Amino acid sequence: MAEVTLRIPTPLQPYADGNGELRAEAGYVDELLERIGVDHQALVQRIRTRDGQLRPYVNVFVRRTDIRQLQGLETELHDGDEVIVMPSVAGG
Amino acid sequence: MAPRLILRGAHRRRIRELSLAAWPLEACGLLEGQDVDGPRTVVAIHPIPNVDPAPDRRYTIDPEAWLRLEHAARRRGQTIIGVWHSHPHGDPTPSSTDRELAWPGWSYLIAGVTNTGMRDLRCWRIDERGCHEQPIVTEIP
Repeated sequence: MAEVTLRIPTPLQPYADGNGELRAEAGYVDELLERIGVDHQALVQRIRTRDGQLRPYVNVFVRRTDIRQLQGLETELHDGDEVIVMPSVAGG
Repeated sequence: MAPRLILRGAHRRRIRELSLAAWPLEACGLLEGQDVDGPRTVVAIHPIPNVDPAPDRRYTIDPEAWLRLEHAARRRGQTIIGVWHSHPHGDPTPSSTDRELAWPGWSYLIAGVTNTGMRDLRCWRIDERGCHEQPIVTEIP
């Protein structure tokens, strides 16, 4: 189990009680979201779909690499890792 | 009406230049500043690649460029407070796509441009209740 930091950019902070970062112990990204979701369900709902998949307009980076280029939600975490959620910023 | 957005004249000129250079496509980028409840001051305008597959009518901020900028802004004691983008048809009011995809709490600065110049620059806060204009105060220089 690794102790990691989830960094939350400003657009998502209202769904995390205003926090810019949250710390948790988890072995995988999926597990991290499970644990964060206990206290911050609204935040995790904006990252994952109801069936647990990563939302198409959300990017999650571990060690500055998009987890879609790693093992997705099953990407392993190490002590001190920074996990960053970047929602899509778009318009017309 | 939402709190004011304080912008330097140089920022306004930079947005006009970038928007005209991209025309007829949409230009976009991020606003760096202090996230405060009252009037917000923009300290930097950052152009970001528009990676949307239909850049003539939409924009999508390159997420990796945003990530790098988030880190850099944090090191400077600042944060990202919003987005700027251009409307190549000249109307600086939020489109239905802008309203649908907006993040509450961010400032949305929109440049209405045509092939001859920037018609207007307006700023909005957008949430589930609607679009609320943020008056722009331009400081010299």
